[in-house]
Amino acid sequence: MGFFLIGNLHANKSLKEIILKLDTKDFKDKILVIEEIAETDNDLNLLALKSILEGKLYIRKSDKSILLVDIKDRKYFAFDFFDNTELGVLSKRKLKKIKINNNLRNILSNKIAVIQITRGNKEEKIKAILEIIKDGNFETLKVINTVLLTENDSDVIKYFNLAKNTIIARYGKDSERIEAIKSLAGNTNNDIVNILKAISENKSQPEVITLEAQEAYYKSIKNIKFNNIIKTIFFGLSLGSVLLLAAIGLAITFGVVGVINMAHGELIMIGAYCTYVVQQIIPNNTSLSIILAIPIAFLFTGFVGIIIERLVVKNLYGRPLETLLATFGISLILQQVVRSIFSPLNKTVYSPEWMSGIISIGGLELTNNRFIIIIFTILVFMLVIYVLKKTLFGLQMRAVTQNRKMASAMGINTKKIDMLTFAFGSGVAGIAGVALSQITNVGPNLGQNYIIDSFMVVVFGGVGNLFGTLIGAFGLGLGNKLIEPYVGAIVSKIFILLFIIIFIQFRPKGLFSIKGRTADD
Amino acid sequence: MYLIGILIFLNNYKLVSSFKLLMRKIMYKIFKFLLITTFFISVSNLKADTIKVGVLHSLSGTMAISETTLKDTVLMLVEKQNKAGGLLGKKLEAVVVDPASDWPLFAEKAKELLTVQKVDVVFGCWTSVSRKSVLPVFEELNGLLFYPVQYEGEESSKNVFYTGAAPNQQAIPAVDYLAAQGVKKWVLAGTDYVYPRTTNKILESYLKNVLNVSEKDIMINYTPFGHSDWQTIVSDIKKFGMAGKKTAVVSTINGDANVPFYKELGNQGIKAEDIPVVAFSVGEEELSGFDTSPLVGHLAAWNYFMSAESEINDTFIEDWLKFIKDDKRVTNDPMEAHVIGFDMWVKAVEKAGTTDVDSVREAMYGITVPNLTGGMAVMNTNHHLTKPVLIGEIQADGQFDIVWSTDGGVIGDAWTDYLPESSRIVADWTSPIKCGNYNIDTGKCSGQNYE
Repeated sequence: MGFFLIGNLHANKSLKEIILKLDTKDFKDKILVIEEIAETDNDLNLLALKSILEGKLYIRKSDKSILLVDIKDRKYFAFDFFDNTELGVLSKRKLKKIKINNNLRNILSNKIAVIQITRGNKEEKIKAILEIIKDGNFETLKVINTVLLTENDSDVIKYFNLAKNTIIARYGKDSERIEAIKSLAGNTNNDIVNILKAISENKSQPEVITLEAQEAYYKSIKNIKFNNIIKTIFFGLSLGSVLLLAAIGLAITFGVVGVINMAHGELIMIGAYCTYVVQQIIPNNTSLSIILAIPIAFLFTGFVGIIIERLVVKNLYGRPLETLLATFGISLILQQVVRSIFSPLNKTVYSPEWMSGIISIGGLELTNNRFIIIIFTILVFMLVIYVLKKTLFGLQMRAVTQNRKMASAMGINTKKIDMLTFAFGSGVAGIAGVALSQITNVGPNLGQNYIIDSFMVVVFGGVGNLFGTLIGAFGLGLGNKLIEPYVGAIVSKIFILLFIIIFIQFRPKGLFSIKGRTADD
Repeated sequence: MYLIGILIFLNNYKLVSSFKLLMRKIMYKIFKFLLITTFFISVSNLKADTIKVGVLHSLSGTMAISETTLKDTVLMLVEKQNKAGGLLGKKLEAVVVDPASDWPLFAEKAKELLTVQKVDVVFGCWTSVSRKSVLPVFEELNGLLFYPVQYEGEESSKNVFYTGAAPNQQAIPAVDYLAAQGVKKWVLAGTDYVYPRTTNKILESYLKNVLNVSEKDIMINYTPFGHSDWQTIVSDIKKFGMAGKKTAVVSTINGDANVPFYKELGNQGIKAEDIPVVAFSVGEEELSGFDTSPLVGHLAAWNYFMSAESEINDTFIEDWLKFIKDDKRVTNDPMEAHVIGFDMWVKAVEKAGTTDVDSVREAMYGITVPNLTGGMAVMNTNHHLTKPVLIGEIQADGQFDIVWSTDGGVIGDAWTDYLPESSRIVADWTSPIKCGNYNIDTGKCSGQNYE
């Protein structure tokens, strides 16, 4: 036991001396020191490399001791690197950070990966092996084979075999290489595709191998192209879902009540600010605050909608130009109210864990937040359809849309329905604001970015028809994203607008219009 | 006046003379009263005479994220100067207007500051389009503008002092740094207006002619202000960068569009080790209120970072946090530019003994003040500064780690050497040239206001 301790102390002392060599301005020297750390026989070397990568390793100027530092609220909480004793809050001036640059980051990630293929847990091993696939050689092969002897996890085995085949494909015996290349065919991992390309371009090898590599490479390229098409469709759907969210509320108010609501964008903005406020009230739980924000935004924005309707819109029914002007004025007022209450600067809304990062489906990588927003939009849409088709309120709304006079004759209080519809449309706009707060800046001008798009979708899809809005939104989103890679973001927007203008010449009522005598009112 | 009129009118009707006498007495009393009051008002005005300092920064709209803190900086500098006794025996008074990220409104507000408020100097503007909008106003009314932001060059106005970086003090050194790191493929991504368009023109020429990069290894891309849907563009950058050659993105994206851009980079897993992004318009202010852990390692090129290690910087940060009463606020390069500009203006006014624009301008050339990174800033005769160049990497707390810097200052070059037309032009507002764009081949002075 004592012998072990002494051995440990000695190893720690030599590791400390190596780490102290990092106190230099020359980044090239730092590379050599990093390599030394990676090779020393001390289990703490992995921790050292990781801390340097995360920017947590510091040297105390006074006694040259090695410290791990956590920075919270600009305060430096220090711990001894070797025995983890807590040293409390130290002054920034007494510490020297071990600085790195991007080049060093690459090298550090590499070294950490090499150590972690033997020492890490399941996720770390997989991450590590993927990291070093492109640099694999016979040394790595030896390590892989050793790990495979004792590895039980099927996922880890799968990835390790992939890496093994990559190395054999490049450096193995000719007879083995063909098998290895065949197993890599069609794989869309970027490093593997590059390796296949490199092999297929190598002139100094048997013809068979070159042909095999070319075939494998083309298969991979085909898969990548297919993935890209799926990705473009995904982008189009996500843009479409954003357009739809923004436009549903407007489709309802415009369609049923016949009111051109220029303050619609601001209602979306208020929904986004509701999310911000809820997050301020419940700061520690982003998931809970987002979910709570949805009904709160619905109710609050609906309430704002009722106020707008009662005070202004009610008096202007049947006078579209005046309504347009009045609601435009309201939009300016709302913007300024928000500016005065919150400040003109943007506010930060945090995304919960489950909304960041990527999900991998096959070889395809899609961003989480956009995926969730697509699903959310469909849910909201289905909810709106449900309210319209299955509830008494929805029935009354549809009646008033189709024939106001008849509905009134049937005993429906059309004025009350108008108010509730306006409130409902505003509430849905508020929900849209909650979703949008996750993907765009929350500021007083948020509404201005979405009002034009909302009108575009409603006009294109057909006034008063929610399915028209759905098709219109997704159609425009897909169209926009299909053109964008070729002409850029600005020109694709212009093309979409031109398309709508021309479309409206031929079909003024939009894609799906309401049929019937009253549609002309 | 009306009373006199009525009196004369009444005169013609030969009213009772005693009534006329009474009226006359009242008129004289009123006159005396008005005279004395006017005298006192003008005297008190003389006593309360201040030197007015105009602040022309967007406090709302897409650029508010960047410009609001500059307004606060000028207010702090004015307060500091007043505590030190003012300027030429008078107090300084800051006049703040909000041009709301609306470029034509910038010109209107500039005119208001110069003609209605009668300010002696203006600190303002961020985007080049806002500067171009106010330029004719300042030149026509002979005002004085201190412009604190890095920009595309190709300009040297008699009425503007450029305290931000010219391309040779930011863009070109950043590209050199990346090339030294082994970057072979380049994405130039910018917001669609004059600054990114011109800077990319210069960079494209530099990459092709000096660094011998082929056309197919350069991808250029523009987006509107406030753009929030970055999926396609970031995906394209990923595709472009995964072909085996090391790729970097040079970003001239301005304003709050940066926030969703960096978020999308983080979401699509583009790490700085794989495809580094170097930004010219992103500093500590734009990153504050943002979780920057997915962005660690991405870069920015400036002439100052809040993390610069110098005593003068530590003092400045302390004073700033005390003034703004918020421990979470940060400092950045355009703030330093305002500090340098303000100190230089004060020194020039003291040297000239007046705030008259022409005299102050003459006094500015050669003025040297300390910058916040421990060196000195000098105002050259082309109205640009000598500044050091720093490259910093984003850290998890929103600060920058300086990974490279020039040894000394780089003299700002208003007319870039990398565009054929501009390489033949120099700016020098002292004799004998006295011109902002003087062609050394033809010997002609042209373009902007000269003389």
